[in-house]
This record gives sequence, structure tokens and C-alpha cells, in this order.
Amino acid sequence: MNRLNSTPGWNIPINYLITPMYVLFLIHSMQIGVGILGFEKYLVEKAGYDAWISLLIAGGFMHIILWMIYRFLQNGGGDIVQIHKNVFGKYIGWFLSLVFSLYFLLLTFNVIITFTEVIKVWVFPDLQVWIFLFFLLALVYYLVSGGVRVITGICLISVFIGLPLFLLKYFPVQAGHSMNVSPMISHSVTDILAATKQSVLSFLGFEFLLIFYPFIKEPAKSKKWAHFAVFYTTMIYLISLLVTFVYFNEKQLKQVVWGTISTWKIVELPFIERFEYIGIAMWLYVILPNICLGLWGATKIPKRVFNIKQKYVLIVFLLVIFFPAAMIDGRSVINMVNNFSSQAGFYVLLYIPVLLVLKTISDKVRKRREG
Amino acid sequence: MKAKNFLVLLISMSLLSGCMQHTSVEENAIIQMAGYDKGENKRIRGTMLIPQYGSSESKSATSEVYLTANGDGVKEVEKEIQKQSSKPISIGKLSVTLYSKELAEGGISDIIDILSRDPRMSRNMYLGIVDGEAIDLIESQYPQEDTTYKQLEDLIKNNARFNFPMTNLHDFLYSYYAQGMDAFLPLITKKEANVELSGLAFFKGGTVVSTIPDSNVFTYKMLNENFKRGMQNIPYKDGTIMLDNIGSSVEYELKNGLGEPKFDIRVNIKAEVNEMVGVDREANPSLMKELEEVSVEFFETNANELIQMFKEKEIDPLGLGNFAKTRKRDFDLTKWKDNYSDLKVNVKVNVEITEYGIFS
Repeated sequence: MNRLNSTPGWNIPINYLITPMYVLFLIHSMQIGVGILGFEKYLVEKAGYDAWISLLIAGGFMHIILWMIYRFLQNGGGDIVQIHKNVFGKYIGWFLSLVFSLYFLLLTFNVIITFTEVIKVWVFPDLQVWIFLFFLLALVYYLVSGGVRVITGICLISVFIGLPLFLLKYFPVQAGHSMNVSPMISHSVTDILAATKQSVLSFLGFEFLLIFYPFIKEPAKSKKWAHFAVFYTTMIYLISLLVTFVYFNEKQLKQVVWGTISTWKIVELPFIERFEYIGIAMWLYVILPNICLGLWGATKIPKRVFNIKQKYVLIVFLLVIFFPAAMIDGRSVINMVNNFSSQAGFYVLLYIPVLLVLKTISDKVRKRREG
Repeated sequence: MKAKNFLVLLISMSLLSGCMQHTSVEENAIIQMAGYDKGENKRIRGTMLIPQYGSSESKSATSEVYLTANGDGVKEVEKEIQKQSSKPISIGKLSVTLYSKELAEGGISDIIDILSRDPRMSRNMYLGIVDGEAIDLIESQYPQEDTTYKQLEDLIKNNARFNFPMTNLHDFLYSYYAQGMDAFLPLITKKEANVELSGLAFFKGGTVVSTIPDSNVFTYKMLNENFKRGMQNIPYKDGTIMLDNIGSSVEYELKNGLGEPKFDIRVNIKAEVNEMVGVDREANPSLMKELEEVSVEFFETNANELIQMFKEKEIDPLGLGNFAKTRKRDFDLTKWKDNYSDLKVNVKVNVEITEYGIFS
């Protein structure tokens, strides 16, 4: 029924496809992860309390990148693997696709170790990481082997579980100082752009569209949902950022490691003294789709390249994550991985326009040759 | 089949999690209140209050245990206290922390650092400066409440609705870290059988540099925030009148044409007068007019004295610098601090006495 299904290797039965609207949940839940718990510090270091402008610029930038992704996916005949093969030929294409696979694996790894650190610092300093990871990854194995539809379901659930947490922004706003944001635009353009680069990293995650695109039932219709997802993510980041702005002062926020979790500390409910414990526990459901979709994307690419069963790749990748994640300890190493994966993500984003240009050229050349 | 296996796994996960080691309330030493004094040789002496939830059923049997230890830092005190405790101590429910004035005058920035760093500390915890020794205050019983920590927690919490400004840990840390703003805490004094809030202690960085008596606290609060309650007695001729605040609002304005910055602080107070001691006149609108003028005079003098004192001590508990920062694009903190003592602050108070009771 849709054109993609007639391309070789893409006979995806209709009962594996997802409706266009779910792209909203897939993209949004992938973008919200561990980053939002502590992204404020890094933005404020760069552009002070003007960072919200940077965030908006970054959000706009994301819409452009998303438009580009749709642009080459629409007539690319499948996913990133197919496009790489068409543009670069078999072997270079394979290589680049595998780089993407490793990048997705890195993102997943990053989410897992950052979240374990949050648990260790905030809730259980004596957590036996490997036990926690064992159960978490067992759950992830179950979900990922369920396929795209199960993962989409998890994304949907995670968005709805995460929503009530945003109501709690009321408490820090109430204790806050609304004057903090002014004066607007007191930083130089370079500062604001530096923070823009930093905030772009908050939006990483929608690259997975490059992999799950063929699974969308009517891809053209999903476009508006994808853009809506990016817009929604921008708004959630903006609200979180502004709430920490009014709750902390600038100097304080530069020292607060997890801005969003720290604002939960002021929440006082009659039945719970310290809300951040609940918040962090609930956050596991918010990062679960990150891990699932991340691993699914990372394992899908080797499957497409080498035609091996995804299950085997999944088991290997889970082991690859499990052992280092269980052993990593201490903030410095985790910060290093954070920085490294941010850098990688930034280059992946830069790669997308390049790929679009290359693809347009190769399409033209091919057309001329055929014509 | 596979799904069934996972179901079993999930169920066992949820059931087995009940096997985790846990301790019940009675088996923990839950510290509810802590006080720090200056110890010997530059060490600090910490006193922790631990309520005992006995196994007896009678409700009134809550007793308290006080443990005291010396240490170089807060954590060391905690360690030393653990050595004296038969149960594992837990600090997560700490609701009041007190510092003796003597200790705070020597600087407590190290202690403030741990307050902002330790994830177990509640942001709704109350802090206070004790005029005297914190240990004496903690180790006394007060008749109003069963437990001392409850007494102090409620004392500070309730008074924040009246004459005293709100001071929980978050507010304190906010003003401690803010640029162009200094922190303050309530001053607590032990009276024979009771404990009372006796004023405010102002910080410069992590050091207490100045205090004001409780008679000035209303004026400070009126300059600092909007509030709806509180009382202030105002001398009038030979007697005093009692002003019942029913709504006070404050507004700052920074005027900085080209020259030096100038502050306008406008305060609007709506009040009732229900008591006039030693005033031998009938309560009528013309007397109220007169009283309004007297109160304005009183508040303005008091406020100017306060601000003068802040300038002399080079502290800024009202956060004027912080306000200026939000209004001036080219705000320079060091320059601001240099010029702070010459800053012109013009306090304009407007008192409106709306009612004078149901009997005239």
C-alpha cells in the first residue's frame, strides 16, 4: 500500500506498522530523558539567564533538521541504511550505518549510567549497580524484543507518567523570584550562540526517526506530528528552564548539578516529606523508552546490514552495556561519557545537512545517467 | 510461553523487593533538631535532639534524647554522635537547625556549604541563630509542646505569618548565594521557661555581623516583602497605639538617569487600630488622620535607621543590589559594592488606618 513496502527488504506487514500520530510520542519521549534533570547548569554557564533565548533558537534549529530528515527519507526508499547504501555505495554505506549504530548504543549507555548516578547520589548511595542494571536490562530485553509497537506503547505510557510531574512546577514557582529573568538579552550574541549549541544537545533523540521511519504507516502524515513533538519538547524544556531561573539565582544555579531534581526538593505534600524520591522513581519510566528505542535502533542497523537476527545483536549489545555500566563509578567518568556523547550527537546533527546535500547530488547524477 | 516466564520474573521482582532490609521508625534515631555551638580549639560542638518513640502505647510517652559531640565539621559531629547512639542515626527529617550567635559571628560558610550539598536535607527546614548557647536551648523542655523541636519548628513557622519574615533553608541559601543580596535568620532567645524569637541576625557572607531587636522586625519585613498580618506598637504622645497590619505592600524603583543610582522604596500599609494605651481621646477620623501621620513618621525614621545600619555594615539583606542587577544592563557588582555606602535610598511609607474597631 505504501511505496516503501514495495522496495526490496521492506515488506513490513501491516500489523507491525504504527499510526502516524504515535510519532509524536516516539520523538518526544526520546528527547526527554536524563538531560532535562540537569541541563540548566550548562546553559547558564554559557549565557546566564538569557539561556532561554538560546533554547528557543535551538528549538527552531531542530525543526529545520527535522525537515531535512523528512526531506531525504521521503524519497530515500527506506531508512538510513538504505540511504547510505544508495549514496556511498555498499561498503562505505555499511560503515557509516554502523557508526550510527554505535552512536545509538552510546546514547543508550549514557542514559543508563547517568540515571544510575542520579539514583546513587540522591536515593541509594550504597546501590548495588549490577543488580539494578540486571533487572532493568532484563526488562529492556523483553520490551525491545517485542518490536516497534511495544516500544511505541512504552513511549506513550512514559509521556503520560511524566506529565503529572510538570504540575509540581507550581511549588518552586511559588517560592521563586520572578524578577530574575530580567534584564533580557544582557549577553553577547556569541554567548547566546554558545548556549544554543549546548541546548541543541537537549533535543538529541529524534535521529531515531532515521531508523523507524519505514515503520510509520503513512509517513507523509506523520510529518506534522514529528514537528509537533519537537515543539512540545521545546516548550517543556523552556518551562523547566524558566522554573529553575525563578527558583534559583544565577550564581546558585551554576553550582546546582541537577537543577530540576533540586526544584523537587521544595515540594511538600502532606503524605510525602521528600518528593524527589518519588520523582526519581517515576523518572525511570521516562528514561525507559530512551533505553528501549536506543537499543532497538542500535540493533536494527546491524540486522539490516548483515541480515542477522536482531535478537542476537540485542543480547550482545546488552552485555556490552551491562559490564561497563556496572563498573563505572564516579562523576568524572560519567561526565566524560556525557561530554563525549554530546559531541558525537552534535556531529551527527551536522552530518544530516551534509547527507541531504550528498543525497540530492547523487539523485541528480543517477537521474542524468538513467535519462 | 516466553511472556509467561517474564510474568513470573516480574511478579517475583515485585514480591522479592519486600525482602529488602528495612528498619522501622523505632529502630532509627531520627534527628529532628540540631544545634551547633562554638567548642574548644576552634571545633564545633553539635547537639542533636532525637525523639524516642517508645514501645509503650501511651501517647504522652514521647521523650527526647540529646546527644552532644565535638568535631571539626558537621559531618564529624555526625560521626561522633553515631558513636554514642545505639541506633543508626538518620538526618533526613531534620526540621530545625540552630547556630549559636557566637559561632555564627565566627563564620559558618562551611556549614552552609554542606546544607546546600547534602541531598538528604529538606529545603523546608528552618534555621535560626541562638542568642546564647544552642545546647541550653535544645536541652530544655517547653510546656507548650511535647517536644522541643515541635516547639521551635512551629514557633518559626507561625511567626513567619506575622511579624517575622519567611526563612526556610531555601530562602536562606537563595539570599546567601545571590549576587547583591545577603542572608538573614531569626534570632532565638531562651527565656526562663520558654523560648522566643527576639529579632533578626544579618549575615555578611557566612558571618553574622549585625542583629536587630524584635521591635524593628516589622519595619524590616515591611521593606522586604508583602504581607497581611503582624502588629507594631507606635509611640503617640504619652501613650502607645497598636497598629494591626491587614495588608502591607512594598515596591522598589531604581532611578538611574545618567548619574548614580537612586532607590525609591514605597510601602503601603493598611492597618486597623484597636488599642490605644494612654491616649485620652475619642477614636474618630481626625484622630486616625493624626495617627497615620505619626506612624508614617515612625516607620520612615525606623526604616532609614535600618538602611543606614545596613550601609555601615556593608550588608544588603533587602537585596537592593540584586534588584539593581535585574534593572541595569551593565550591572557591575564590585562597583555597586564600592558605591553601596553612598547609595541614596528614599523610603516613602503610606499608612492608611481603615478601621478602629466596633466601638467608638
